[in-house]
Amino acid sequence: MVSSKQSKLCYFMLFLLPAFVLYTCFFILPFFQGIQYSFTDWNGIVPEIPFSMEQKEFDRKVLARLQHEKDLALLQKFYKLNDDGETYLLQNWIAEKGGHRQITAAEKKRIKKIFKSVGFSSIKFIGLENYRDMFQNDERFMPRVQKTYLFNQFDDLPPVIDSRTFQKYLLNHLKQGEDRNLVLRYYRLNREKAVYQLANPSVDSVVEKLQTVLAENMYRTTMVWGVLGFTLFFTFFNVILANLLAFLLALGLDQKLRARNCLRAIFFLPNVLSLIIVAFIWSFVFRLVLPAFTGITSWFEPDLAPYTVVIVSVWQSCGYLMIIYLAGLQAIPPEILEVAQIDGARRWQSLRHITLPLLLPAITICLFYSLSNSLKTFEVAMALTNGGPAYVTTPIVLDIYNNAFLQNRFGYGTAKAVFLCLIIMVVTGLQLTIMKKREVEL
Amino acid sequence: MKFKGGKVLLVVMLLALLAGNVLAAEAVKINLFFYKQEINTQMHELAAAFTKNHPNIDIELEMIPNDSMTVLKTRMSSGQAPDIIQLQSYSAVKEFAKAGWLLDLSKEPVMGKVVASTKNAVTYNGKQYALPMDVAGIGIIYNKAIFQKYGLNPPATFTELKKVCNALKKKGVTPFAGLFKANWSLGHIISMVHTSLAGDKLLPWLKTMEAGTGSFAKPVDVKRLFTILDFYKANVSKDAASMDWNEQQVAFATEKAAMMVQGLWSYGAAVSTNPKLDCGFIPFPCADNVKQTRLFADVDSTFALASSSSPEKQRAAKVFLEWLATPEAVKIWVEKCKLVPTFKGANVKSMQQPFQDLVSYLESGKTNPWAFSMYPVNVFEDACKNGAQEYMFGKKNATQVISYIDQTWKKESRK
Repeated sequence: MVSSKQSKLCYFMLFLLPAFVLYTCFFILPFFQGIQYSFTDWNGIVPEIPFSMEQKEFDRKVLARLQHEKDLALLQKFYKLNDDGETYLLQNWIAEKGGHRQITAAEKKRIKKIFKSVGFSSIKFIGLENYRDMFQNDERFMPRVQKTYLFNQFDDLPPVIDSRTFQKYLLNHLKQGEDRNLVLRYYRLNREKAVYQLANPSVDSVVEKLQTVLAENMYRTTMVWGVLGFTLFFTFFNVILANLLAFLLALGLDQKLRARNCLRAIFFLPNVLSLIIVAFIWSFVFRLVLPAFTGITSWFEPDLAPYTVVIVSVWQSCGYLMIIYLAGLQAIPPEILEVAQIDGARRWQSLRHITLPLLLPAITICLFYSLSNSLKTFEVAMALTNGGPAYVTTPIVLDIYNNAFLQNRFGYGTAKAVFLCLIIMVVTGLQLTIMKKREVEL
Repeated sequence: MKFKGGKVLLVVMLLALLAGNVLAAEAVKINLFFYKQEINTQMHELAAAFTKNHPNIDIELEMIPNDSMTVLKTRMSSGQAPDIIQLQSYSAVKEFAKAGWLLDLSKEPVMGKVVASTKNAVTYNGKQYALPMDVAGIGIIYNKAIFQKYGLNPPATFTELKKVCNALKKKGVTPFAGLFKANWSLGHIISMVHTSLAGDKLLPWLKTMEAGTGSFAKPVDVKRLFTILDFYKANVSKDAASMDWNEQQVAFATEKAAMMVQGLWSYGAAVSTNPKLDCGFIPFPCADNVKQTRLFADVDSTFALASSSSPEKQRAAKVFLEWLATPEAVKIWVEKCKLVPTFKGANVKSMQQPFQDLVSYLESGKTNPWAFSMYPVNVFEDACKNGAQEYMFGKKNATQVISYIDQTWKKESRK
């Protein structure tokens, strides 16, 4: 259809411009404001203009530094001393003819400007501090090596320690000297059983000394993946497993089965459920059903919990991906497959050389969708494990939430959000460029 | 026909709407924000009773059960502060007061009616910014029937507690219903034991922490602190790692466990699962001296007023706070909400036994304050809650837990 320049303009004004304006208001501006907050120490509670200020501070820091008479008059209109004359309070409601009216946004903005002109702000600008904290000081964010101690100082001394543990985790950490000699004096090697046995130390002070030495020196160095590590772990497994499962389901349900509509609905159903409900169902399953089958008593131990979260997420998200794959499969003309069959292609060959290449657009979309969704996952971990135990299942978004809303470090949380945004842009951008190059046009 | 009926309906609806608006214009409508989900219906009763007495004031209730602070902060910063806000004692009140969101209530007559010791929980810079509403305690809720069955007495010292647990284990009864899946309960426990062991040294120690010279380890015997945690771990349900609050309540209510270390607010849930449950409430004993066994109890919820509300709404909200101290309101608070009031001379005779136990500890002054509410927010939320959980799962040892708490505290006090 050929359209005139005028109607093009009309369409632009009618549809695109409003959308663009809305997009600017609700996405682009807040986005940059967010970046701005990431350089501050805002705690999420302090208002932009102070509601109350001590009289001395107000006089010294604000009133004394004002340049214009007009500003002074304005501030005096909105800030009044309270009854005991100690603090200035912002007059949120101004008495006027016929009642009270609330201070307007424009007035607030002007007050904010005046405060800014004297160099006073309730939110401090701290430069890159938040980012430095995130990468260097935050014990929970970046992957790091940590010592896991094997003996608790207040427990009774273990009567036997197997020789491998003893050598690797204890003796290796002890230099030649008193402590090493003490340990070797009371723990004697029993070669037959390959264990070190405790030779009865009867004096209390010796026991205590041994306890201290063991508690401090018997440890394993392990990698703690941290929030970033868990997010990447989750993304890796969730993307691969969910897509694989969805693809297999789609292949199966593309066949001419009698119950296929019913089956499609069943597999899609988890996606319709609220994640809170899903988490409830699954925590029930993990607590009462699965232990009976698998013999694993607790699925929420720190070592297992990350996998638990992945399982639920895969179960939940593969239905949606399956629908996309199904649509892709059905868009492949049956003639091509028939021709291949006539030419003698076996099932595997036609899947490998015809179906997969033609399905690439769907794969691109599914990977993009699950990648970006996994990187910013939140609900499953929040509802199923609440990030625990011991913080091992906390993805970045939940960590941001904890920082901003539970720990009152809004600026810091925003800095992490900006970092997450960068990660998502880089990862999905890479994925899209690589995949787009490989897609074939039909 | 159908069409005509629709038109009539429309006119009626419009009229009703108009009438509603006109009527509403005379009354002041104030907005009350609360987080205690267990008293949702009771709050409506309370508001209705108030409106009966003060027909020109309407109270609009809004309940935000989980993450109320998140919602509250967002509403505050978007300029839609509720007129009356239910806030947790200590740190929440302090942070909002510091930011200037709350009205100074020090001179309101109703503040004179609360028990003086509860005011500490709402004081910032020497002024009271909220009305303390209920006192809650954290301790051991025990099943009296099980204790009687095995001839056990509620323990008053740590040694006795150990004996009770051993006796229960021998009979195949789990001593404590556990809750390890979420971190908050363990956070309460580490702070409770720490406070109990610190005793009189608590307040001076908090000062040293603020000054940046103290350590979490200093006021207590660290060995004892962590031995008690180990002891607790050894005596909870086997699958505590996958137990959240719900599961804990069920395990306790169905008599799978004889005790639980919980706040008394959990009692209602347990009883609603098993109405025959007969419970007692005692402090968690940490020392071997009976005199040092004190109940971990303090002000839990408070009502604060927003400084950003219009003057007439503020006036109406203050009328509501004054009304809360009347016998009628206290009666609803005690009998329906099942909360222990902070008002002097309130009648609590109708409360169930565990609450009576709590009141008797309060009256005899045998309580420890909720020290965790006095820690900086970050220290309790991250270092204590997660630290205690990490300790229980063997991810950190005692030294690591303490040094992480100290580090976090230093960071906070430098601000």
